[in-house]
Amino acid sequence: MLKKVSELLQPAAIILNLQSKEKNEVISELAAPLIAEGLVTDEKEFIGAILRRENLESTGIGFGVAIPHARTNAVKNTVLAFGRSEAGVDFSSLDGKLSYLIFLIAAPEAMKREYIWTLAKLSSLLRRNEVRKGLNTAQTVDEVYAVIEQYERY
Amino acid sequence: MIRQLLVWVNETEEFRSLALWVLELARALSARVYAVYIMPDDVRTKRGKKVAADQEEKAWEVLYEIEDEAFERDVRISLLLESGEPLLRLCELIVSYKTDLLVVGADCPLSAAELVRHSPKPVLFYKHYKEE
Repeated sequence: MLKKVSELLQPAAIILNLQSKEKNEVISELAAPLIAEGLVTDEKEFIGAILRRENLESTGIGFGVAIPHARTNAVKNTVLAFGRSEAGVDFSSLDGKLSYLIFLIAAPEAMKREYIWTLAKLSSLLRRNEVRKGLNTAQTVDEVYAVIEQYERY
Repeated sequence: MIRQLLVWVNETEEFRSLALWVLELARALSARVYAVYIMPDDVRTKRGKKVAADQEEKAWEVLYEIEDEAFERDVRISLLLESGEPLLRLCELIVSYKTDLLVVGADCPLSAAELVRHSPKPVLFYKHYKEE
C-alpha cells in the first residue's frame, strides 16, 4: 500500500521560515531535521544525490514551487520535508520565478514506484491554487497537515 | 546542431520505447530534453474534477518516469505539463524553449502532414518495432 503525502511528511521536517537564501543551503537546511531524526543514514550521500539531480534538471515546477528529489540508499524509507521561504529561492524554474514552497523527497533506490507515485501526487497537489494558498498562509505544522489532508485524495 | 529536443509523451504502449530512444539520442548529441505531456482541455471542463485530477497524476507519473531514466543516463531534462490543443501547444513550446527538433511517436493523434506543415522546426517520427 502506497502512503499518502501527509503520511510521508515528517512533522520535525516542516520549516515554516527557511533561513537559507541559496538553493544548496536550502536543501541542507531541509535535510538537517531528517538527519537529526535518524531518517538519513548517510548525510554526504543524501545531499550528494539531491544535488546531482539538481545539476541535471530543474526541480522548480513553477507556481513558486520546487520539489528537489532523489532515489538514494542513504534513506531506508521514503522521506519528505517541507520548507517555506519568505524571500524565495532560485530553483531555475522554467517559468523563471523564485520558489517559495519547497518539498524535499528522497526514497531508497529499490522503491521506485512509491517515489514516482509520491512525486506525481505532490506535483499534482501543488498545482492547485487553493493548496498553495493554504501552505503559504499556514501558521503552524498542524495547519500544514490540515491543508494537505484536505486536498489529497488517497 | 541539435542542442535541445522536445518530445511529446503520453501513457501509450509506445511511450516508454520512444522516451528511452529519445534519451539515448540526447545523450549521443549531448542535448537537453524537454518532455511534454499535453492534457486535453476538455478534461477540466467536461469530465469533472476527479477525472482531471486522475489524468494529471497519471501525466506526472509519465513525466517523472522519463526524468528518472534521464538521470540514469546523465541527460539534462525539463518536465512540462501542459493543456490545450496539441498542435498549437507543441508549436508554441518549440518557439518558447528554442528547441531544435520535435520528436513524436508514429501513433500520435495528429496528422503527420499537419504537424510537419505547422512546426517551426523539423519533426522526427519514431516508430516502435516490437521484437519478434
